[in-house]
Amino acid sequence: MIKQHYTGSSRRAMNLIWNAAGDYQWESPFLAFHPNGESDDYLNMVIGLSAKWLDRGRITDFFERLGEGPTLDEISALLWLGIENCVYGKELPVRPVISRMRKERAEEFFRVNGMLSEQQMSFMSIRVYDQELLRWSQVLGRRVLSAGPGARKLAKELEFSPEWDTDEVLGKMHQLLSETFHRTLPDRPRAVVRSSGGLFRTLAGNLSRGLERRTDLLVLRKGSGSGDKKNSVHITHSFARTGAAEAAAADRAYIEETFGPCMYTDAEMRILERSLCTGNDSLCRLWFSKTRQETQPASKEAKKLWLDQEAQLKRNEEYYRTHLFRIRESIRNLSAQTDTIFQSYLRYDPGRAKAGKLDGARVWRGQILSDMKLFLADAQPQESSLCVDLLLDASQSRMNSQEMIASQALVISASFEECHIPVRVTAFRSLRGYTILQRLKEYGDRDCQGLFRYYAGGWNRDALCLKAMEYIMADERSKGMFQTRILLVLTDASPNDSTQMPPKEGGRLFREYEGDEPVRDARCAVNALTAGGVHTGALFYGATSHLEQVHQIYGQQYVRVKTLSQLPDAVSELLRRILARAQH
Amino acid sequence: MKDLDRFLREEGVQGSLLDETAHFLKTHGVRSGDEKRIPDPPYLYYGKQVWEKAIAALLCGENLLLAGAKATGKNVLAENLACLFGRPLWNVSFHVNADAAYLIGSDTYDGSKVVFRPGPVYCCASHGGFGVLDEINMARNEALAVLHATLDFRRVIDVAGYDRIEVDPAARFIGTMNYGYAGTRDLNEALCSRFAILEMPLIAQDDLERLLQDTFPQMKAQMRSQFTALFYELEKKARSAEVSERALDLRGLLDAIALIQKGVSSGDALEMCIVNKTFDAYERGLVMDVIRARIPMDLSREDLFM
Repeated sequence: MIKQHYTGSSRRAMNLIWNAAGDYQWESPFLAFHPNGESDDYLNMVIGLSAKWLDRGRITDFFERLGEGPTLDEISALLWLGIENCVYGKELPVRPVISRMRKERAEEFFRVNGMLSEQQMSFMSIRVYDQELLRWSQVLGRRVLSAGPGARKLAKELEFSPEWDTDEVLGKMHQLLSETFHRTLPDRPRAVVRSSGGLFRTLAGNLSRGLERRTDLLVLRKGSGSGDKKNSVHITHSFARTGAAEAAAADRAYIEETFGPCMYTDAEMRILERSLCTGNDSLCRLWFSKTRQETQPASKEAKKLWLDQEAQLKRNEEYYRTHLFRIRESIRNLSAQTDTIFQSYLRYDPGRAKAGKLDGARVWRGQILSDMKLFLADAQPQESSLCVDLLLDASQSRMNSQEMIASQALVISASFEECHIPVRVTAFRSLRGYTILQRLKEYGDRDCQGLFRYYAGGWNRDALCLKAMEYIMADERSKGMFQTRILLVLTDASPNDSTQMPPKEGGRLFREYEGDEPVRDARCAVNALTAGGVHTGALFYGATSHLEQVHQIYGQQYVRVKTLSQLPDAVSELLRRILARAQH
Repeated sequence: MKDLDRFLREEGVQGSLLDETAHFLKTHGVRSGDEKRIPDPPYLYYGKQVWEKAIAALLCGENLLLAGAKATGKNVLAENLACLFGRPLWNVSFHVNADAAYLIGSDTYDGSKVVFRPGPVYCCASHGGFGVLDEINMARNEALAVLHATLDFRRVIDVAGYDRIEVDPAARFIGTMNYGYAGTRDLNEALCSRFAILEMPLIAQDDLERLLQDTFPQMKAQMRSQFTALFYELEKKARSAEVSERALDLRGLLDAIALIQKGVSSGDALEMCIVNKTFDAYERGLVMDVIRARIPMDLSREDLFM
């Protein structure tokens, strides 16, 4: 089960929500932050309590169907004030401290707003501000003179009774939506078109982003909490991935037919995409498939690709049979070299002991200090918690060397497994907006036949794939799986994809995913992997013109491979470099 | 002991077990000078089923291994059992360097000759006491091998170069272990087979309320329920691996209440006894958030006690 990993303020906010909800499995679609990015303790507690006292699924569904946009965010914010009143009253008898927290939150509102400049105030939603003012004034027993009768009437309407159950709360929210805000709730969550292209979409995308920045409300969001917004307290929500346009549904069906079902559930994929499909990859989707689709797909397009894959499987196997002796020799050579490298890495430094190899520099201690530990003892090997991930670029540019890449992956995997180092092999490519990570071999699986399923086609969005690998590995490590990890990438260091990047800040046009930016993204992803303790290196088999790019992405941690016979030396050299750096 | 017997009868522990325990008490005397080792536990263990299983096992001559997470009352139960059976108690804290000499005894010089200085396991076995082998899985399995003959049907300790002593029929060993602590390891099969293993559950909510009531009779009922709820919220957070188990400390919670009773503010007391037990600043923040969402930071003795 993939779990959302939170950091900083987000994690703190989620902890407050989980604590109030009493359920640590709930992935709340809402988080609340102060303007400086710190968690808003009280409002996060309210979010958690809404899950405790009300039907969380139906409440979430309501807001998802409501959708987002400046006016809708304003309505959401107001309705949350209603929910706040309801759950506060419900929780008060069992958690008396909540009354004090509510008062502190009210005081915080006046303190923060008292410090805002006129310009900052002008960005705020007056309607939400008025309602907050009335609510928090009431909490502190203050009188409000400035609010008009309309605002006072709405404030009264937003005092949802603590006696209400989910039906009554939702009934009131529907009533307010239609009578006060003159809106209706669509039957399905509002779809957000995520594929790229088109001037209209470009403009629409920028317009909504621009408005979002200006609409600074009590809105619910699920974000980083890194303090990127400048004005009053926010709660905002993101529904960007809850809807699916028809075109997106067709793409998904194609990917599923061709590459088989996704390894993770929809809920897990939402977590992964929310965390990873950000920045330049915000228009992308992810797909993790374990096996190739066994049955012939029905659609013409998918069937053609399926037949191509079958034909490539046969070619890969044929290549292996033809070069069997050379491949076996490479496995023998590589296992002999890597065994020594891994063994030396997995040993402790020799320790001081009363027997073993005499350490001449310490002999004086025996005479002067009566310290008998003058020897260096042989160290015991550490218990292995090391594994290797092999990532194969499976883009169209590899089309002419598919058989060789499959065999190279087989040599590396078989050699490492021979040394009892578990290896997992994943091929990656991008197609129709999806970056697909296809597992060809699992850790510890001595049978490497799955590697013959390697097939090149599509584009390669290296950065997104590397980010996905980092996330998955971090998730596995948090569950205690393999603490020391090495990631070897077989790459041509030339990332490019048909799915564009969103416009730059202030820009209007989508950008092609090619050139320097994807290289920079990939470098950032490699840096993040390294910072997270995943020792990363590349086996480069691209063109000489891409040498600079591989250097930019992987620094010194790469070797160039041109032929199968070079592989053992190249891999062992790369391993030495990676492990030497890891020991420092 | 009589108080404990009465408490257990009130808890609904089978009368036949308690009668047999009383018989055990009558038939197994305590050596002169060992009376001061019979514990008078400050806290009672709550949990009828665990009590019954533990008493039955000890009456059958079994050694007990209490396995459970932090704050499940392993040591409290061990002390309670020693009190109930009226046996002197030896406490052996295990660590990675615990060895045969530490457990059984070692040579020492008495000014004129080398003599044997008995270790806690030796003393417990020869005096018919209860030996608490605390955090037994902290020790290396090789170190524990010296206990095999003591703990199984042979019930002997063979001290090389000195003597071979029979373990007193009243002697029992109670191991405690927590699977999750850093530095712990799995016990080997040979050692496990010498214990009856009792999985310790987390104290039930009602029992925790009663524990607070018994320990702090003057505490206001509403406050008692808030501190109880706080404990379970911390437990849930630790179980979800959002914070370490350091913050899940029942003793710490009781100590904090005791400090408030002495006049320390609730914020300071909880910080000293719970929050500061986690060393990571971020984790301390998470623990503090849970506390703030339950207990106001400026409660005084008067707010907490009648």
